[in-house]
Amino acid sequence: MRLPKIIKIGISVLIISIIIEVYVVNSLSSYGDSFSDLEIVKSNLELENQILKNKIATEGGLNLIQIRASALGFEPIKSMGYIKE
Amino acid sequence: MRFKVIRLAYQFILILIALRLFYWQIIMSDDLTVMAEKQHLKTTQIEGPRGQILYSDGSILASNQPVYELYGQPKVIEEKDKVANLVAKIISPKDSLKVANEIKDKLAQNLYWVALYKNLSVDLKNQIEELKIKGLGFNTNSARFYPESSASAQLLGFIGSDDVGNKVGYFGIEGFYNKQLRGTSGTVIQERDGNGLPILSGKFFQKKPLSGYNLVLNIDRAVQHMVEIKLKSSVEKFAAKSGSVVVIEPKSGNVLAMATFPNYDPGSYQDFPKEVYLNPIVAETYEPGSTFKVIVMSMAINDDLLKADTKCDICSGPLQISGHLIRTWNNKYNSDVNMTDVIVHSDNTGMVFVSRKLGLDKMYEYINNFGFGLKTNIDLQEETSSSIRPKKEWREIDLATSSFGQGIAVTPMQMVRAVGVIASGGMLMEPHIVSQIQIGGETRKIQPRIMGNPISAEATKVITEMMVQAVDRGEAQFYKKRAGLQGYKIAGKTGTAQIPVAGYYDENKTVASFVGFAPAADPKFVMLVKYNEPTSSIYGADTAAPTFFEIAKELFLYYNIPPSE
Repeated sequence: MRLPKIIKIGISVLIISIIIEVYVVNSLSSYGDSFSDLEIVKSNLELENQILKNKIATEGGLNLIQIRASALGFEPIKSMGYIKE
Repeated sequence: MRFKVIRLAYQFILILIALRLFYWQIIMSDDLTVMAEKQHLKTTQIEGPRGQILYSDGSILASNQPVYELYGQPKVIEEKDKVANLVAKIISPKDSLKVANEIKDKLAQNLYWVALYKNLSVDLKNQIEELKIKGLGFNTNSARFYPESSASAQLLGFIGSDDVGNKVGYFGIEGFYNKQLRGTSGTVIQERDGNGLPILSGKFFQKKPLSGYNLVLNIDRAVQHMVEIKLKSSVEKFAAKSGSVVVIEPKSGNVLAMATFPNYDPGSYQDFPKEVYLNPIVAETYEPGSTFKVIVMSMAINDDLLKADTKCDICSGPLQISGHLIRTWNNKYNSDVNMTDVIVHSDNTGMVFVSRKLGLDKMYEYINNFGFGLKTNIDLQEETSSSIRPKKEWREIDLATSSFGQGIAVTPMQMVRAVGVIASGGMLMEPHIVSQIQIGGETRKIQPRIMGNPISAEATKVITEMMVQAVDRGEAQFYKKRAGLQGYKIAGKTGTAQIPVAGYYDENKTVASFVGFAPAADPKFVMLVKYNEPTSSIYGADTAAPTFFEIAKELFLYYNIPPSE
């Protein structure tokens, strides 16, 4: 008894799909350590970003800028003059 | 026969196996599934970061930083004393002996795991890691980060813990906006293999953590800095117990700067006395003294009961009211004094004249209309307000003393907002610290809100001119000139209120203040400077006024406001 062609194709597709699934699932399963490493790298980068942002905020703080400006010889304006048109 | 027995035994065993399988596969199915999932599914809680607090220019006032908890495994660490000494030298070089002893005590316990030190910075963590000591490890946490340390401490508030250890904002912005600032925790459930590594094709469920909302303030970083620097040096110069400055924008009610000294570091609030946690600008009341005169005068002018040149007919000497003698501050009297000069020379008898013109009913109504006795609705947690006594309890002496700011209690915020009514042309604005709330990608702007209109624009012009005269001809005129502000029209009023102690006023303990706005014609800012118990001089004219003019000078430069004359 010969099976209709459509059923043959269906069975073939099913078998190929199962093989691909088994292959992919097995491949992915062994990538857990890589994924874990990527998560750690991502987390470290986020942490580093936060630390750098905070460092920028500290360095840009007006108290620090004032101290550094004074050290460079800058002084507050003591008197101001406006020119009339 | 033997075969039959064996067959029966075999069948019996098969039935037992089937029953056992039925028990494990059907009856215990759910329990076993849960147990299995517990073994291969890892649940991780992820804390949603707390929202940032930003100045009006977007720079950081409060953010988050990673901090580390150092832990040790006493059963793994061999040379406990040596480890404790090494770690203590890194954590606290100045106090290493004390820290080392604390760590030794903890490691001496018969435990598998013990927390050794909290809130370590990244640098310290890295230094300890470099020691490569077996049995030491770190847990990562998040803590508040303040780039400018104690800047704006009372304005910000701080983060503490509630009864169950959750992070909660207390006082100031952190307290008021705690709900908006706090993040929402997320969860990740992931299938793991026998080594604890994630299985990419396995089960995965994620509920993302949500960051708290960011707050953008109306506080101008440069103005705040100027105010803080000037306030600190002035409190020390005048040897005052404490001092406060608040600057608002009159037409919007936006708070541009708010500072108090002494202050504290919100990052280590535990190291400071609890008394400094409260923001006195919104949480403490004081008797405003002569600064209140401009408010009472504006009431009478608004009702057309008086004009700037109306003469006082009871100002030739001290006034006797209900057994109390009302004097001027310098005991000098002028029978022909007009209302402008009452303000210029801060004449108490002249103010009694004004209060009698107003009468209790009108004055009481105006006091309420100016927002005294009610909270201003500012967005700070600890705001308070003393209630105004019921009208029926007011006696003649209360009406008289209230006219020059004694016997009535206000918060500095109420006072600066009331003077803001004069500066804004008659509008009582709701003060706002926060200008925008950033929710994800969206921004919600907080619009200015008019709370009332106690006096007319015409009345504000008259009282403004009186206040300009008070600055140019009053007791503080020298300090305006000294600051080089002759060309500017500044409206202001000094105040020196004795502090009530055990039922009487102590003459040597005062609240010295100055409130004013500039430029008088089109005010950009209203400012209140207040000192508690200054000792170099007890007068507002000699302490608060100079600070006001020095800050005003810097504000003119900052806002690029040229002199008008």
